[in-house]
Amino acid sequence: MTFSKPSWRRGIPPPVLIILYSGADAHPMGLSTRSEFAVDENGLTADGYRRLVPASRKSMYLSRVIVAAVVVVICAVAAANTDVIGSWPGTPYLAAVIAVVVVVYCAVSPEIYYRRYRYRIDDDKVEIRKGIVYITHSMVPVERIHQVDVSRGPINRMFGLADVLITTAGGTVSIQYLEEPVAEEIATSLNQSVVGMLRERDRWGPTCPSHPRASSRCCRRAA
Amino acid sequence: MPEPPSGIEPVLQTGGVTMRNHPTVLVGQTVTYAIVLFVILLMSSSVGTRSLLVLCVLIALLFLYNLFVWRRTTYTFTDSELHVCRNLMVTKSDNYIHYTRLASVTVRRDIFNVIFGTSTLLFNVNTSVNAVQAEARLVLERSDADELRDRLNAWAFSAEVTREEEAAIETMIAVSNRDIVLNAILGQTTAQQAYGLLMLVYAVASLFYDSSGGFLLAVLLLVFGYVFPLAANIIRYYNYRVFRVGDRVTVESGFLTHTRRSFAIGKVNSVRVRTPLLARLLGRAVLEAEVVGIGDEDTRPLLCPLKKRAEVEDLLGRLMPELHFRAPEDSGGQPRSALPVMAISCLVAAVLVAALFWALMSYVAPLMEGELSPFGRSLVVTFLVALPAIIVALLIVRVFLAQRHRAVCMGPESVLVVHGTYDLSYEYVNYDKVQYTEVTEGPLDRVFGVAHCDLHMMSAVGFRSLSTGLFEPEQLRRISDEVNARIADGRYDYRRYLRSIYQESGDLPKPFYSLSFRTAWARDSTWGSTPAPRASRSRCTTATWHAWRSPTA
Repeated sequence: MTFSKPSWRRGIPPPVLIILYSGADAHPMGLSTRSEFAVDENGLTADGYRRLVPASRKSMYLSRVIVAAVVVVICAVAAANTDVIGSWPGTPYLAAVIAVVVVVYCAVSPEIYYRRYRYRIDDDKVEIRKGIVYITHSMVPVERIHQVDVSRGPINRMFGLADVLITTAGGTVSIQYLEEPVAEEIATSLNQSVVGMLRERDRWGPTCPSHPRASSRCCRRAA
Repeated sequence: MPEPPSGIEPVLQTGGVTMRNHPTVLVGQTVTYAIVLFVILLMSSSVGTRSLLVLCVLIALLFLYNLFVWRRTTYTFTDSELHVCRNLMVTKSDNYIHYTRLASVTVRRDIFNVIFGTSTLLFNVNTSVNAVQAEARLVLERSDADELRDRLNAWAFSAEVTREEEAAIETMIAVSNRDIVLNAILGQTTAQQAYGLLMLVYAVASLFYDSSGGFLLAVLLLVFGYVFPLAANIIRYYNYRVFRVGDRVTVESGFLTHTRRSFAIGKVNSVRVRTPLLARLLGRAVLEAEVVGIGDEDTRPLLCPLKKRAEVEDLLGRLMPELHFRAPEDSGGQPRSALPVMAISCLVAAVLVAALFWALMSYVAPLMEGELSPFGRSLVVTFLVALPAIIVALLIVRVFLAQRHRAVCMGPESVLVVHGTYDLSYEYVNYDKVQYTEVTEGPLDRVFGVAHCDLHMMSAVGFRSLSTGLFEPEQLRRISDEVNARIADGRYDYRRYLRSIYQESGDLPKPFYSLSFRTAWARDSTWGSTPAPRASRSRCTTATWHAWRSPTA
């Protein structure tokens, strides 16, 4: 049985190391950090994507520290009160394992997330690539956008960051950890794109949306 | 909020007819309340003259309230929209339902309708918000309801077919009531069938070996979890009929409650040939459509009950040729590189299942000593030993079934996604209904160069995401590229979409104010008159703006 080897995997470390590795010289996906994330004077990567601003890492670390602290406290309470929670002897060990996994995840995930997060906004679509263990590439046609919101959480506000929430009829996609002016600019730009696209169609479509088949009927009435 | 484009013109009212619900709804509501209150009273410990008096007063008060609501609720049909006005003095609501937003108009006849000779019209809007409850419901005398529905069909679905003509139209596939019974039994998911079988075995075992009331519990679980849904399915789809007139598909069925629902082809998100395991082994399949805004119980219209696979495919080709296409043989299947990904995932899942049951066994074993009866102990042992073995076996078979069947094949107007394992579905998804896509690569996927794609759409119950199997990422990204290409080159455009629903025709349907209802109570002072244009609609409101630019919402 033969399997096709993806081009980006040539000459890179074994899969387990790829999954875990997040050093400075190589990307966890196996992509070279410098070439993939190097930005030009316009802040764009080679394939036209934008990366997050460094302040986003601080925001992510702060939120992860809070999550890790809460989980560690819960695990500690569970380990210390096995007689109350249950008589299973493995409870302290299980609590310790959960606490360690969460702490490691919270320590590592912001860096990986920051390095992998990319977004691109074209005239016709919005693309977002992100993920820590599972890497997701979301593609949202601008035509499908119903609503664009700018959301600022308390931690993001501390670092001057905001999220852009893009709502479609099939769900919501967000561009996270943007600088506030950039988020506002993107929201305005997307709104204008949607309106512009519809205006363009007005040139050749029926003019009255409430009487869609009455391009003739409206005219008759007007006459 | 963006301003609407300058091309939009004001919506003007040109005439309409205003009506209320048939007065017999008051009787139906009062009887229902009375039964509920009486049952509550019976369940309480004190049943006496005083409590009966309180009950009567309560029923009278509820009747008066319903009378007040009935009197203050009006339905006005103009030539462009339905206006539901509910003026209760303290609160007032005006719901404007533009006909372009109507996904379906359903006629239902329940037991009260049959007694009083009325029909209930359900107006379902093309949105997921009213998936369970219709946007508006109106009870009219049967002939009036039929006339109104015919008029609405003419306006909203370009189908100038009367109820009498419709009754003469032959169903597109002959469905006997035997097929409906088979559909109820074999059309269920394998999980439901396994549940029914398990409860049956449990009930029989309890009957012979257990004297602690386990039999009664097993029978209750069997009846409520399996028999009732099966019976409801038979009752719902009894006397089944499906046909298409123009761009409108109508499905009729029902034993006690006769339901007739119509929807435009343009509102169909996807159509799927569903083959549960047992049905597939018998070479049979079920045809269903995903239509947003059907509302009221049946969120997934059944287009064809359990029939031979070839007949179902043939019906699909005739009923919805817009979405159906013949996928080339042996094309679009999962690449071989997907197999190790699934095998390793299966191995991990098997280890986790074994660990979970080992932990359960080590925890439960000390408790069983002297605590359980011999029958209970044998049940627990069987559960903790046999169940993980069955789960692991199912996981292994699942890998091979997925590799053999899952596929993605792009057609001219739709993409065929074969998903599921034991219960397979061949789903034709309309490109123009895909809201956005997500291609996801897990750690193992990245090693073997595969990914899966989630197609996000609206559904009758909110959002829905359809996941494909494992394919090369570039192949999956082509779906999104096609969706974008259709928008960019004009193959998809909302204006065109509207025109496809509201086909241009030389003769316009009769306006609503010419309706000739016989019942005088249905009329009020605005009957046949021309209401003044609403000042608030001198330009497009936000609601209209959203409704116009978002047909799928």
